[in-house]
Amino acid sequence: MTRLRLAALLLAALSFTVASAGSRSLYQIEGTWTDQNGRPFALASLRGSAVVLALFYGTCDSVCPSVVRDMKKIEALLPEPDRARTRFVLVTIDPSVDTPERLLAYAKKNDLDLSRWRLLNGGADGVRVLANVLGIKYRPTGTGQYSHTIRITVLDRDGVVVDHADGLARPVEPIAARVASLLGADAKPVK
Amino acid sequence: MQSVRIALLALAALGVAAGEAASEMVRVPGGSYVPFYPVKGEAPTPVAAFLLDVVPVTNAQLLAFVREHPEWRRSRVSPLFADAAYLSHWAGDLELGESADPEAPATFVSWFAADAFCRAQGKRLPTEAEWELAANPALEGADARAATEREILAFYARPRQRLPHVGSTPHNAFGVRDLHGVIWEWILDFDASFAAADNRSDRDRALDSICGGGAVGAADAKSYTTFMRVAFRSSLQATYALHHLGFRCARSLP
Repeated sequence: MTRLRLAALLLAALSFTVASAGSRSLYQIEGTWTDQNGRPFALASLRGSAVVLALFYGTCDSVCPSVVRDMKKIEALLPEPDRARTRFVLVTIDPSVDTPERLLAYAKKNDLDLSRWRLLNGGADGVRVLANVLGIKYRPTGTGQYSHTIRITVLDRDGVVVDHADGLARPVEPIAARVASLLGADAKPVK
Repeated sequence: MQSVRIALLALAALGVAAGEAASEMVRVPGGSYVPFYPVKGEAPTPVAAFLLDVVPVTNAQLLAFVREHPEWRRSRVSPLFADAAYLSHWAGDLELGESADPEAPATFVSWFAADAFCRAQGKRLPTEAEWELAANPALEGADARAATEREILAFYARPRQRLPHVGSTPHNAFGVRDLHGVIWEWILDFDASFAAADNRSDRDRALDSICGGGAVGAADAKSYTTFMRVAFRSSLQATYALHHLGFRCARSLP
């Protein structure tokens, strides 16, 4: 009986730890997400990786390409073991246009390595919640284009935002260093 | 013991039934919405007819929701989804107390909670275009609009500790109440009215409004109260829970 109670207490303590660790985690965002292959995608499947994330849309011709370029620069700056343990995530703010087929075509056209890159469609509801969590504002301008905050966000291995960089005129080296710090030997273990 | 439990269950069921009494909705005719700060060349947004709650969501209705969805209780809500002021005027997680009249509009509620509430009812928050269309019935005429404008200005000027019950203001021409003069309301795309955003974006309306002269670009520069709404919405983050900020739900017509 005592042993049982102890076990129950332990379990309770354990679940509490998990809950509190997850309290700022993006991985509690619900919704139906799909990747560039049209497969269902759970945001929580990113747990354990460092994540470099940005919102974009496929037909964006001015700002998004340079955001993707910057993310590729960050990818190139990471030393090999860290690079493989990082996910580069693009989430579309134009979910009705950016079908999985279009996302896959976008990845190919931009030479994105799909072992590390994920191009996600969360539907209108999913991306709205995600954008609001990230503090990203966007709106359609009625011409097929969008106004939107330019922000690259870094998530730790629990899915908690640890850093973000705004705008276009900013160095990418500090972001790469931040990502590497999440993965180094002395980085805190994933709870 | 068993009978107590059954009684409790029955009570809980009653509470849920009472709180979940579906809010009355009215059909708001569609129209065309010109954003307050149009991007150069931006066309008016066509808006389809839709259903809108006649009055804002009440504390009692929100209480029924958090009873059923424990993750939205004050003590359990993620800091990702609500700031520390969330439901801070309630006496407890599941107790309204003196400062939160059951029939008054639910306030101190974040966008995330409002969004989740409406979705749980099979509804959604109204868009900015829908809300503005519902709140400005053109058929009321210039005199009525001027009167509305005066009423809103009086609302701004009036310090108010206690919110009135929902439905305290007359129906407007569409049959909707309390759109002006009681609380501010969350909208689905509250972030869309960013008038002077903290960024440099692709075709950003901020580019046309970044300095004082930007007001010249406003679609209806005479409407001081619309300026106020846009400015207020622009200042919001989705986690904010504020004293005079509530919400109502909408639904698309099939």
